Amino acid sequence: MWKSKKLLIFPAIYLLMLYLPILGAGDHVNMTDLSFNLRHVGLLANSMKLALLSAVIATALGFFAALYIKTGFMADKWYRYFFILFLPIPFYTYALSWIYFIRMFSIPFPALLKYSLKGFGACLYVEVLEYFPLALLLALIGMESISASDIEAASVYKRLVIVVRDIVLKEIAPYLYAATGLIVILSVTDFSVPSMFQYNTYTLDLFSVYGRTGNVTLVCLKTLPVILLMLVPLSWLLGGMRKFGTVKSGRLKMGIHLNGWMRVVSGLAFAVCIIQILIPVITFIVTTGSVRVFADAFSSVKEELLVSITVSLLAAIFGTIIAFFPAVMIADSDNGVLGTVSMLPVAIPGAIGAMGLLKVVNRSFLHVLGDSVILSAIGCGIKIAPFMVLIICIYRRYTDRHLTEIAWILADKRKKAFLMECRLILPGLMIAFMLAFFMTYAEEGIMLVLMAPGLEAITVKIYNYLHYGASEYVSAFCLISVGVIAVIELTTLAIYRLIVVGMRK
Amino acid sequence: MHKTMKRAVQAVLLLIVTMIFMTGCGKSKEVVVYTAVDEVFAEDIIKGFEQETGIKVKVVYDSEANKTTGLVNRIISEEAHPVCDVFWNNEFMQTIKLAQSGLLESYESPSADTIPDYYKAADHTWAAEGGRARVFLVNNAGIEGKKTPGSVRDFVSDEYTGDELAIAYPMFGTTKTMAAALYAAWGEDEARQYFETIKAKGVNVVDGNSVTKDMAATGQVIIGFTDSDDAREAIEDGADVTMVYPDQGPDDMGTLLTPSTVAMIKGAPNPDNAKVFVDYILSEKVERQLVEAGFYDLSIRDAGKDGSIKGMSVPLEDIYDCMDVSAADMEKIFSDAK
Repeated sequence: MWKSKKLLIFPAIYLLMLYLPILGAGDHVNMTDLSFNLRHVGLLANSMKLALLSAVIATALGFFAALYIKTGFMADKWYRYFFILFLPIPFYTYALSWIYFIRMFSIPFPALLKYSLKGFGACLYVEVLEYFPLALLLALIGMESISASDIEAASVYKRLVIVVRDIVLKEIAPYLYAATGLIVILSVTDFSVPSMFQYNTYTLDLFSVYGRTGNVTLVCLKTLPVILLMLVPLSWLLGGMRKFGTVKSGRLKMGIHLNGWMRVVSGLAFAVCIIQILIPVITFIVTTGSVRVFADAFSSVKEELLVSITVSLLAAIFGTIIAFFPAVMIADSDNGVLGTVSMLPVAIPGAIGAMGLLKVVNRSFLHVLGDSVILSAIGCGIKIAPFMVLIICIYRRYTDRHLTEIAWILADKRKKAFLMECRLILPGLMIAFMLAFFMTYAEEGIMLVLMAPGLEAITVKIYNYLHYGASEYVSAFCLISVGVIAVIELTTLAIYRLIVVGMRK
Repeated sequence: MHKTMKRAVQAVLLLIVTMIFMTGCGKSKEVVVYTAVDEVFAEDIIKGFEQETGIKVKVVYDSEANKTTGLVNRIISEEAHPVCDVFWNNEFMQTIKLAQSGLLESYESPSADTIPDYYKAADHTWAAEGGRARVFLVNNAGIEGKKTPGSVRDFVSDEYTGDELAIAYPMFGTTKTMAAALYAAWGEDEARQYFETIKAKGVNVVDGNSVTKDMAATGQVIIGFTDSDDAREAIEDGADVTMVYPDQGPDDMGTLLTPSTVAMIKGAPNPDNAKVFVDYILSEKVERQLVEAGFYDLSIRDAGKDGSIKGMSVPLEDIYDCMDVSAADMEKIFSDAK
């Protein structure tokens, strides 16, 4: 069924949606504006330095924290995935919590003020905390594909270090490669963190060029060196994806007992897990100060919350619709070209793609979309679709192909067989859907560009208030945002368990 | 299970339709405003307008990082199908740019009668009001034993090291305007030299005036070159700082005053409501309200009167004409990889 040529229309639509905003802006470009000199090389080096270090540290922390979780009492508990709670939290939450943290303690200890966030170190701190939950998530998923009996057998004959190196690390290497690749891509294409902490990167420079010229085509052409560089982490990502394990562990707890330095390192990584949740939450509670402030703040962001949730929901639906077929085709065919072409637009900064989309839409009858939340949702959906392809693709590889073949043989109608296949990868679709939801919820740049008049997202509101100066209301906004995310995550987890358990039954 | 799923999908679809309806309904009595005025100040004014006129305002705010340029690029990209009715800008350069691109509608607001001609476009495509000044925010503890800066030129004197100073990226916002103003006042060579010195001294060049303010307020730097509204915020927060207006002596050039501007967009979807909004924003009442709130330093209706802050005497159009050259230089000087 998936090999039918008629179905090629779906990846075609997907690619059109991804590339039209970039290629369709149609701005005039002078060749002289396309210069690439030593300064640009330096900026690219800055981008890569930050991205690689963030990726390596976050992935290492993710691996060890996952190891701690999967060998301890939480290994088979449903809440083991709750440590990724802050995956959808906007980056500035970490920055703000750190600023508050320093301010609070600088009252008795004024010398602490010099540790305020600035430059490369600040960017690295924020990005490691921002991407750590992503690495942890992939490492946890990877560890669930390891055969528990293999580990137990090896543990009898080999030392702990060798078991971890030869079995655990080897098995989840594709996941770690994918995490590293993904983090490098996300870091290189982001300009908000370097912008906030005064660290010049190539993407920040692109944004500056855009601010000066308003020329989307020029900026996209200037992105080519980034795209070429991103082929490397993209190959880690896609290479990792192709090797994702298909063996699911019967038992969720790994039968090894951590000791020595590995226990210490894993414990520390797990401590980071806790810290990256507790410090923001505690500081925001303390700096909000009173229930009255919290209530006032909630009353003033009700509409923004509704907008953010609506856009996130629509973006997730849109992303699922356009990503589903390409994901399944990539997973089934091992088509490297389609995989690469499907993922390349992730190297374009989201806000620039959004401006391209705005230009394209405004030249057509679709300009009416700009008056509602739909355009923001499409913009975010386009940015997130490649990541959804990735998730659905992973899950498709997990799916037992015999079951799908049986479905096609036994079903009396193609529609029934198709629905059966959908149900088999439903957990993957749900994970992709929720990832899209949360990434959209945390998005600021695209929202800012495509926001319909009067429909401000919560992230934009917090960012605007934050830039005017930290206040108790900013803390309350962040606290509300974290609370809403926690509630949605818990609800999702409950629904997910309901559906997956239902499917198993 | 199948039925439950079906119901769940139906419920979600119903919820989405309801949410879209709730977030996008109503269009008869509204005006769409794009504003670069700080959200914390603009919100109160807009609420007042809605209460007074019954016209619903749909706002698009801009964030500090890409202030003004983001909205201007959006207005340009919407040229074929304008969405915005009124552009309420927190400065004048980008507004003049829009006027020269033919994207603004001429409207002679009766509220602008009391505004000096110097602050209005000859073709009535825009009018200015209020004003924020470029100021030094000086940390009192840090400045002890050093001379308090009195002139823009003092910022690059040997009295202070680069680590002790902070300024926002001159490629954006009012710092970009300040660069163009110095180009217009001093000439290209002298002004370029000034910013090259800032770069060479290793001055902290940061993302936005509010960051500059925070750095001076917390003592990370001794002097932050910022806008008066940011400086006032630090003072109100109880920071140990002093706001200094540079170049106020009888022979000095005065500090750059940045008025806000209001303009109607050509082809605005709600032109009648747009006019009502422009009249409201340009009214003396709103200008005084924003002075009271601390967003404006002064009413331009008071310009030239005794005791008011001395502003630069360079015409706004001259500053605009210098912008391309100064912006390209700033890009070259400050986009270097660190």
